[in-house]
Amino acid sequence: MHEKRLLLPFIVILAIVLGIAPLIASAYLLHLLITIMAFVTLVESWNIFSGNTGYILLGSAAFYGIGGYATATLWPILPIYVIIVVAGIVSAVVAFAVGYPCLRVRGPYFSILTFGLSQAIMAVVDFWQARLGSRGIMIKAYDTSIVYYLIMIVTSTTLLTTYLIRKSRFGVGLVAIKDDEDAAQACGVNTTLYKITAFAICAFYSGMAGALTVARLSYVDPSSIFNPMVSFQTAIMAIFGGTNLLLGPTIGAILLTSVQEILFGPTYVYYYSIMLAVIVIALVMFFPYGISESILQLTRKPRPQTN
Amino acid sequence: MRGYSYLSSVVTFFDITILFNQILSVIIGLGIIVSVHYLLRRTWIGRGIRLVIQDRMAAELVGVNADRVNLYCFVLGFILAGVSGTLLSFTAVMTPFIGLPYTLIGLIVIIIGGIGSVAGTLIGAVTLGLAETVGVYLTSPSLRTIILYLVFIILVLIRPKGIMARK
Repeated sequence: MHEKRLLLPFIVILAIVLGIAPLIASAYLLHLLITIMAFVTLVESWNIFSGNTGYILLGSAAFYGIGGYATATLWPILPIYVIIVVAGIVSAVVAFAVGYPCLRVRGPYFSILTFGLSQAIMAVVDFWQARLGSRGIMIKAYDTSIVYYLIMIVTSTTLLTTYLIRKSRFGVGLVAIKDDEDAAQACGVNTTLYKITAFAICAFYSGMAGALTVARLSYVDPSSIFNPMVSFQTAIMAIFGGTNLLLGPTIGAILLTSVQEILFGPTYVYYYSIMLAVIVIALVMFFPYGISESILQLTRKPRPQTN
Repeated sequence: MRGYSYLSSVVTFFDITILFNQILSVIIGLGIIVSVHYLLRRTWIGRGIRLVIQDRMAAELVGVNADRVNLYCFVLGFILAGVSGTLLSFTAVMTPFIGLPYTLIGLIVIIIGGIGSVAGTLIGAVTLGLAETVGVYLTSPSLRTIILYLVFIILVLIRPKGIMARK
């Protein structure tokens, strides 16, 4: 209870600060905030599926890219508010279609299968793009503050969804799948339906993040939007942040994106990759179970001695 | 980025013409597979490795140093990866970024073949390579990646635990 009372004013202050940011912040800061929030959305949507069910998804880039391409194809006919919803729905439909066969395989096989699937989708889009005779699609430049407010709404909706799912019967079912899938099924959890629904929710928000990223960059091509590094980064950020706390993946995303951005400045531009790699390895060695586990260990009261 | 070509004399069998270094890399590759199989099946270290894979705790109980076995496996894996890089440099242009596609193909081949099976890895690699080459020959080179990943997805869906998986 004590924590919740602290949390509410914190959220309100954060919302006000982020809400007035476009009026006072520089264009650079605004773009950085959009990037960070896009990654928070990706990582929290990853958390809804993988964090709860224990199926490690390495195919976020597929949904991210489908969302991005939805913006690139629909921008002449629809306003951006409608496009992001459509992008999310298209991603979710694809997730429904591929989810049924994919979710039959478990463990490392599932990770590699989803990775292969995202690469296959990228190859198909690449082929189609080459048929059009171009490497990528330029779209109109949207106003940065509009994109900013939209991604703010999407990110907070994602966080709210993650929270509500954790509290609900549905979330308990998903965690039961993580602990022991066969036992969960024996207890009456419709595991297939639960997994596919979580998978589709994950795809829905990832697709929205992709749609807004393309609206920010006003350019899309298959090898950048379907970049497998997006999938890896998402998983790394979430696991590094720790999935046992609601805000763990968010902390991971904010921290790693900021470190990346600071290093990419003019001072270190030649050593950027080396320093990033060293920092990530060091962080993983210091927090082997994720940041959130370390936070929990700090705040947890020491167990009373029994004798 | 550097490209060397060495041992690139032309060899002709009947009416097939091929570069000597290509034949050499196939021969060395087969030799490595046979020796890894021998190592895993017939030697003391190999028995320890298989034991640790099956049941780590039981292996430690009968006196296998599991940490050391893990170290051996790790080192052996890197040695083999290094050798395959050398074989690749016979024919490919080397850059610092050449690793990623081969890492991914390696993962895919292991999943297709079944984790922990040397014969499965060989069968998986040949299947994938043949499917890719024949597929490109029958359709078009721009479909190369699509064919590769489609074959992989179909194989995983048919046999989720790999071609050589034990029941």
